[in-house]
Amino acid sequence: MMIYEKMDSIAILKATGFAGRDVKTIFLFISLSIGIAGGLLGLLFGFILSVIIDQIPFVTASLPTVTSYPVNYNPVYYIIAAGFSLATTFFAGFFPAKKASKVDPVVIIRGK
Amino acid sequence: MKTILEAQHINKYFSSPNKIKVLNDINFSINEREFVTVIGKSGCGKSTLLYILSTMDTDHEGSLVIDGEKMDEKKDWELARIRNEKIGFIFQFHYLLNEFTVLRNVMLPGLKLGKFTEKEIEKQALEKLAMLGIEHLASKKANRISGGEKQRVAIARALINNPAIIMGDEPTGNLDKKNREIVFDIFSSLAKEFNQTLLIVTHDESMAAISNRIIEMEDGRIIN
Ligand SMILES: Nc1ncnc2c1ncn2[C@@H]1O[C@H](COP(=O)(O)OP(=O)(O)OP(=O)(O)O)[C@@H](O)[C@H]1O
Ligand SMILES: [Mg+2]
Repeated sequence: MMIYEKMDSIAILKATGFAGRDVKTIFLFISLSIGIAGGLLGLLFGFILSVIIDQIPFVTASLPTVTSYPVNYNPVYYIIAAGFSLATTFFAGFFPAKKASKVDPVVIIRGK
Repeated sequence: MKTILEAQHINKYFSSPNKIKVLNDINFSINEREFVTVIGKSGCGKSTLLYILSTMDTDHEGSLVIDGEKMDEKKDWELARIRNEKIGFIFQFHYLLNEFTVLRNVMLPGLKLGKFTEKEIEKQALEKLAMLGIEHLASKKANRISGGEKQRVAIARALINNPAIIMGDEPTGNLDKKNREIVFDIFSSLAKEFNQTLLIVTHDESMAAISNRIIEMEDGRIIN
């Protein structure tokens, strides 16, 4: 994540009284928000695409009842996808957030 | 009179590249309502001392007492709490959070403290901004204002929790003459009208001249 660009912000937060774990919470919150927003968008676009594909004519002699591309809308797949997007963003956010919580404000403030 | 801050036998070493002692047996105290300035040549250890006194740097020998409480054995989150509640810090490079508005920047330490509701903190923040003559900037993004304005916002932020002491590391060091005078007048009125306890590191002789006491440092020691 973007913790290298946010060093100044982390230093300010710590200097003004936010503890390491507050900083960690803030960064985890940011990455989870991104994960949730991204996950929802992904599900929505996935669903729209499936509906479009579902309209495509698909005629075959071996399956006389099928007239369009077969699409499976089973909610289980959506749940798996949502879970996967949350889990990846959590892990992608967890280590940077932990690193952010350990930033020494003195090093940043002095480094200017 | 109440003692706000006390440094007892503070020594500080840096070990890279080789071990050097940058602070040597620093002893002094600051009383309530006192305006103290710290002066000394570049490299004599002023910033290093201020980072220790503000509880941000805990890697030192000796004791620090703030508002009657010993800091030595405190955990990180306890020190953060003390910085939040009792210390207002002003840097040379007016650090603000660029992703927020001016008002939000000032409110942030108050929101962290959680002593008042968000509405009340907003009102207090607007009062501080008004006191410093910049309430019209409240809704601006923090990176859309000038350097002098940023430093005044940083002062408002330092004041938001009515801290026991305000510390500044060359708060006028990066400003032009006009803004230096504005900030200078603010410190002067904070000291005289608001009886704010202040500890300011400065190269500015006129700033030192209006303080109650000047601490002069040389090579990691207090010489005066
Ligand atoms: N991280 C560090 N590692 C090693 N030495 C350091 C480190 N930070 C500072 N020093 C040294 O410690 C001494 C004191 O530095 P400090 O920044 O406190 O001085 P200062 O009085 O604030 O100077 P200035 O007026 O230029 O801001 C200097 O000699 C500096 O080179
Ligand atoms: Mg310095």
